[in-house]
This record gives sequence, structure tokens and C-alpha cells, in this order.
Amino acid sequence: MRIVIIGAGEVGVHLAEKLSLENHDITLIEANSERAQKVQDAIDILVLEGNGASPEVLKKAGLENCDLFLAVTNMDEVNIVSSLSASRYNVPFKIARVSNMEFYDLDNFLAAKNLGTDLLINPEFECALQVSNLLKIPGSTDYAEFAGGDVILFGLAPTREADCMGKLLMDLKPNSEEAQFLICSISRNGETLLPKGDTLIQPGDMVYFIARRTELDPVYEFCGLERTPIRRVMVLGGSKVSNYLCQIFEKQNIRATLIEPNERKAEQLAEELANTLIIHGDVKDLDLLIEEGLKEMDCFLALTPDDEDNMLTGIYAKNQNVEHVIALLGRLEYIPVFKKIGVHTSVSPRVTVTNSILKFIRGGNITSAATIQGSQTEIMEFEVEDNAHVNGKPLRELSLPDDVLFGMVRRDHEDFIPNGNTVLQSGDHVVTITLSKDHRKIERLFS
Amino acid sequence: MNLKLLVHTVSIVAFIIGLTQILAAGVAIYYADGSAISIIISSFLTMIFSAIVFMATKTDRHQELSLKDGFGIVGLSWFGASFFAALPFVFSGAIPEFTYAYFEAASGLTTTGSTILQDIEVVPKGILFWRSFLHWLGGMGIIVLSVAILPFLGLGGMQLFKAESPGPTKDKLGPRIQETAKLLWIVYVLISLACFGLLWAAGMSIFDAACHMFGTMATGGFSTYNSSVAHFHSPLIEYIIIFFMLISGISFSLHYRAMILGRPLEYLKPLELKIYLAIILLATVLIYYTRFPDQIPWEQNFRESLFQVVSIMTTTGYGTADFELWHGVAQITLLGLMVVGGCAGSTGGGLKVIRIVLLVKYLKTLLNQQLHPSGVFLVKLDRKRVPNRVVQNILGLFFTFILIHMGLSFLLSLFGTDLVTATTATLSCLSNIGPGLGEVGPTNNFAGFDSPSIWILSVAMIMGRLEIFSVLMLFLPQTWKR
Repeated sequence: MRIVIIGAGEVGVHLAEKLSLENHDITLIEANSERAQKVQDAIDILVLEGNGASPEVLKKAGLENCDLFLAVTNMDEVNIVSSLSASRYNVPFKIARVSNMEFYDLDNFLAAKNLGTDLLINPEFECALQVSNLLKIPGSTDYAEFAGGDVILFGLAPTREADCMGKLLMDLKPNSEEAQFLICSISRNGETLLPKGDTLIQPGDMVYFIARRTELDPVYEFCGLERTPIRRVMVLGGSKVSNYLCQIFEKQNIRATLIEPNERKAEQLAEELANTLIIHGDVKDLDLLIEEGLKEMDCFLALTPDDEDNMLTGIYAKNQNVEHVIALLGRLEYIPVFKKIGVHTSVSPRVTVTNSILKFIRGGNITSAATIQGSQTEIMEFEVEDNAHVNGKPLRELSLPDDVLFGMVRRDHEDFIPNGNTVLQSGDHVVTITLSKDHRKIERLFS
Repeated sequence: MNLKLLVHTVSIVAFIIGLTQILAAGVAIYYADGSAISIIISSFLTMIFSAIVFMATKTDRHQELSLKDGFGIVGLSWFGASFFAALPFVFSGAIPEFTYAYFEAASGLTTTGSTILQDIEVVPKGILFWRSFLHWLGGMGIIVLSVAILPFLGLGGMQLFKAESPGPTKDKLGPRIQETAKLLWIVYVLISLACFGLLWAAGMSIFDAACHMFGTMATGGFSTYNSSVAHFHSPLIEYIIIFFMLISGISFSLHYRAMILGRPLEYLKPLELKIYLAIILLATVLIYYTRFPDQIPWEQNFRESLFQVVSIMTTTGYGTADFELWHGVAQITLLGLMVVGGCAGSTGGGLKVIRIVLLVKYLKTLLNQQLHPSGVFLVKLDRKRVPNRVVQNILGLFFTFILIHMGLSFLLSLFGTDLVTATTATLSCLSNIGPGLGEVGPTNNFAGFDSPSIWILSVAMIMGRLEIFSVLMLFLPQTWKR
């Protein structure tokens, strides 16, 4: 595929990296020459210097032969104008990053969809949604939805006292026929294992589950954890993500305290948020955090733009016995480090947004896709088509690659975990788990 | 301050007052009550005088009104308009003494509804009509009217509009201020017609229906009978008047959006309206219970309680019961309502519900700030931030209101008025209500005051109508410097 990306910000560069690894031809347009040079040196793509909304630059980028257009600068106007230009060039798919929610209102004839974009993404909002989803499953890392939201994927770390500890997977209930949930991946010391019968669960493992949204209690029991809902949250840093997040909290009746060092920003947040307590103060002022009730918080969210601040305050909060700590990360390299020090949940806007774009690009019979952060696992949901390889055969007769797991199957609004005797039918939705390098193999199975 | 321009503009307002007196003359001729000649004389005198002044101060140079001029014009217009509006009372002999006639005219224009007439029923109908009609003119504002019908006020009209229309924030209904003024008057006229029609259908004579409509729509309170609305002994009429007093206590630009633009859901949006209705409901229930020992039928109790609450809250001042005889709780409640008043942008007086709401919200942020010293707390209304400037302005107004109230009450007491009468009469005039307690209770009138007190109260009424600052500005030397 020929792909044109506008904007070499965090999102743009991450996308370019991911997509070029999948052998797409990528042209990246960036206005800042320093940044353009840096990307050119780092990734094997074509980088053009210029304004993404300028007709001349867009022409030079070769929009005539472009298959996919991604406008992901941090300016709504540039993104909208450039994707409008792309639709004049008849580019089949146009994705624009837009944070102004008014453009999402489909009743408005100026809605971005009506202006020629196929998908709108708002990284900050999606990131906020991701965090709020994580909090719905307290203690979890990663969260992805399948089967229209009824089936979810999430990671939990079993306690040392859990029943499952030190046992072989084949002796445990999950992955057996009457199981209510499935273990789809295990992360150990930065390495990813796809579970097999002889896999042993060890202390320190992060175990990824696939389960029905309504039946999470068995998973918690399995991990030796208790599920207590979150009522009080402290949010550090008044970024856009925090703003969206606090709006979500207000709807869920979660009481939030937000700390923002910039006075004008703090006032603006106070204006936009109705029931959130906004504190103007230094995020590293630990006395302030204690005074504003850090110790009584169920959850601490470090969402400042600075990874190091997030890490340090996160550790401090963990030390003050805050049960759940989530830190926002810009650099993926930190993720394993975070997990090690106990700030075991972390999210980053560029990962969430890359997920939604990858989901869209793969399109076709893939209805959902997700990656587990800091690991090489990809989880995809396929719809079985009439002429697909997997159609009509018991699973055991398929020559499946080694590192492929079939998770949930959804048939006629029923979800079940497949086994070797399961025969897939057309119309079924199947959640598959693979390592990233193998995802083409599995795509072939379903084509 | 541009004196020439100021007098020029005030003369226009005076002319309108003279012109409308012809209407009252028509009523006087129809009923042949003997007051026609004197009303016509005062009408022509007013018009000729103002026309001469108008011509004399005319300049070819196009002049812009400054903010200062706006305040000056509005303040002087109201004092001047009251002067010319008082002439028919003097000429007809209904109120021979000018001081008292001026009070009556100011009470009419400012929609206060306090009267110095001991026996209303012997006054000629033409004069009674004029008295009530003054309410209706002053309700939506004579300046707003001038802006609406006179295109040459143009840009400066905004300054005038700002200075006259009540409330801390102004709604502009169109790109031009003239359009806004026009639309407001159209809504006002339409609702007035509905009110008139219903009162007439409910059994009032055309004359009574018109006069009571004027008093209701402008939240004034002049009646054509000594016993006010109680005279009719008709629950239906009382409910109709309650309903239209309620309507008049709500912002007319809200009525415009909801009724004329056909978006009734707009009524559900503003917090001010919700609080306004909540206060009325709460006060009614409270007073209803304090009157239990009186053993009155529940419907009558409810109706009378609701009527008095709505009448006082909207600053109308009509009466169907004598609240002087009620429980102390009921009286204090009514006194509180006097301070609150109607919604911003309505014809009601008082401090306006919105200001009270914002003050309470501000108090809340102060308390929160004590708990969280580095917290950021803003005063917000309908999810939008209220600028500090506006909050400070309200605090200032509130303080000035208390100060002026204390000062004027003190002056009244100097002339021998007792505490209850002095404080409630001043409050009643500052909030443009009508009745107070003591010697100015609902069954009494203001005839007992001597001339100095009457002048003090006249100034208080105009101050109250223009929300104090516009009038206070007139007393500042800086205002008059070039």
C-alpha cells in the first residue's frame, strides 16, 4: 500500500514505524525541518518537508497513487483541510486526527465525515477511554474489546498466594472445555509466551486473559485478587487526556482530584470540568499530594507530559500504598521498567491510536485488532467468510502455525472457547492470538 | 459628558411621554370623566416644550454616544420622564401637590406601584388609565422603546440599552441593538394582549382588564380599586394574574426564543429560571403552613399564599390578603423575596435571582478555597465561567444596595418614620415592589409621608429601577467633567 502521513509528531512517527515494518510505502510530510531530518535518519521512508495543507506539497507527495491518507498533525484545521484535499484526489481511505468533538457530531453537516474523511481519531480521547476501561477492571494492564465489546482482553498479575501459582496450565481449569475464560498470553521478564499445556505460571508473570465482560469474577479468583470498584482518583497533569478522563469520571460518579502546575491551564480545566477538584500546584510537590489526600486514593494517575515525572510520582504513590497506579508513557522502552517497579499499568496515546488505525487499515474480515504493550503479541478478531480456509473444518485438522491460539468464538450472539473439535462456520467471529511476526500467516488462514 | 447631546436625547423621551398622554386623553373623553381637558393640556405642553428643546439642541455634526453619556441620558431621562408624566395628575387636580404627583408618576414608571392616593375609586378614569399605562411604558423601558422606534439612536443605543435593561448580563437577540429592542417590545406586546384577553374573558370590564394587564405585565401593581385585586372576589382572575406575574418575572429574551422562535425547551435550560420557580414554590409552601392555625379552606390558603409570594417576588405588589396579619415567618419570608426580585431581563425589580445565585456560588468557592488553599474554584453558570469582573460587580452592587438602603432608611427616620415603616418602605421602593410593612402595609398607602420623605422615596424608586449604579453615576463629579 502507498501511504501518505501528514505530521511527524509522536503519533505520526510511531505509525510510520509500524507501517513500514509491514512493508508499506510511506511518504511523511512534516513542516519542521529538524524533525523531518530526524525521522529521515531513523526510518526507511520518504520524508517531505512542508505544510501538510499546501496543495503543492500534497501533489509532490503523490496523492494520485495514494491508497491511504493519514493526517495526524496536532492541528485539527490542517488535518481536515489536507484530508479534504485527499478526497479531491480520490484517495480511497482518509483518516484524520481531530480533537474538536464538534466535528464528530454526524448531525452537523460540517461533521468531518461529511467533509470527506473515512475515520476520525482523537488520540487523547482514546487514551482517556483506555485508562477508564483499565480502571473498570482494577489492577489490569492493557484492555481491548472484541465481539462488539462483550468480550474483553486484559492482563492481570496473579498474587503469590493464588491457587494457580506454580501449576502447569493443563492442570488448571482455563483453556479446558468448560472454561469461562482463556489465558492468551503470558509476559515474563519482558518476554512473551503463548501458553501451552506445559506452561508454568510463575510469580511476577503478567497473564493476559480473554473473558466475557459479565464474567470477570472467576478471573479475579484465579489470580487470587479481589475486585473493588474505584471511587477516589488523583490525576497528575492537566493534559487533554486528563481533561477527557475527568469528564468520563464525572459521568461515572468517580471523585477526581486533578493537579496542574500551570495556572492558566488549571483555570481552563476548572471551567471545562464540573465536579472535578482542580488544584494548582507543582506535580512534584509531594507534600501537596499528601495534603490533597493521596493516601486515601484508590487510584493514582500520572499523566504529565514528562515520563520521568510520571515514573517518580508513580513510585511515590505506590509507596504510599495507593493500590492502582497508572502512568502515561511517551517512550515504549520504559514499559518493561515500569512493570518491574510495580507501577504495573501504563498507557500511551500513540499506542492506542496506532491500534485504532491498524484496525481500520486491516479492514476486510478483521473486525477488531489489538496489540499488547511492550510485547510482540497481536490479537485479532476475524469474521469467517464462505471461502475462507478455516471454514467448515475441525480446528485440529487445520495446519495451524505453532504460535497461534484461537480464543473466543462468537456464533449467534453466544460466545464460547473453541477446542480441537470445534468446526468454524461462516459468519462466526473468531478472536486469534499470534506473535506479531506471524500475523500474515493467520490472515491467510481466513482469506 | 456631552450636555447638548444629553438634553437632545432626553427631549425625545419627554416627547414620547407627551405623545402617549393623548391615549389617556382618549380614555378620559370616552368616559367623559372631566379630566380630558387637563390631560390634553399637559400632553401638548410636554410635546411643544420637548420639541423646542429638541430643535434647539440639534447639531449637524454626527455625534457618538459614549458610555458616560449613556448613563447620563438614562438617569436624566427617568427623572425627566417622571416630571412630565406627573403633569396630568397636577392639572386634573387628582393630586394637586406636585411632590406627590411626582412620586405617583415615578412609582408608575419604575413599576413600583406605591401610591399616595387615599381613595383610588374617586379618581377620574382617564387619570387612572394614565397611572397604569405608565407602568406598562416603564416595564420594558422607555429608553428601550426609544431605541426600538428611533433609528437615529443607532450605535449609541447599545450604551443606553446597557444602562437601562436590568440584570448582570445582556442578551442581544440580533446583530443590531435596535432589532433586539424591537423584538423585546413585540414579545412584550403579544404577551400583554394575551393577558388582557384572558382578564377580560374572566369577567373584568375592558377598562379594568387593560389597567390590571398594565400593572401585571410590568410587575407594577397599580389597581383601579382600593382593595386591589381582592376587589374582584374571583379565584379565576387571581390565578390569571398569578400566571402572568410569573411570566413577567422571567427574561423576555427567553420568552422570545421559546415562544416566537418556537423552542419551548429553552425554558428548561437556564439555572436562574429553575431557582426562581424553586424559591416561589418553597416560599409558598412555607407560608401555607404558617397559616394553618387560621383555619382557612386549603384552596383559599394556597391561592392567597401563592398570590402574595408571586406578587412580592416579581415585585408587582398586588394584594389579595393582608400579610401584615400573618405569622412573623411569613413576613420575613416575604421580606427576603423583596430583596431577591425577578429574573434578569424581566420587567421585575429587586436584585434579580441570577445575582443571588451567583453570590451563593461565589460563597461556595470561598468556602472550598478554605479547604483546598491551592485549589482552583470558579463561579460557573450553566457550565460557563462567569468572569471575575461580573462577580465583583455583583458584590459591589449588593454592598451598595445595603448601604443605600441603610442611608435612605436613616433619612426617613430623621423625618419621624418608625423603624419597620422606614426600612420596609425604602426596601419596597428600591426593589420597585409597592407595599411594605407597618404604615406602608398592603392595606395602607404612602400618603402619610411628608414632602422630604416623598422625594427620598422617589429617588429610591428610580435608583432601584436603574439598578443603582446608573443613578449614582449622576452624583459623581467626574461624570460631568468633559
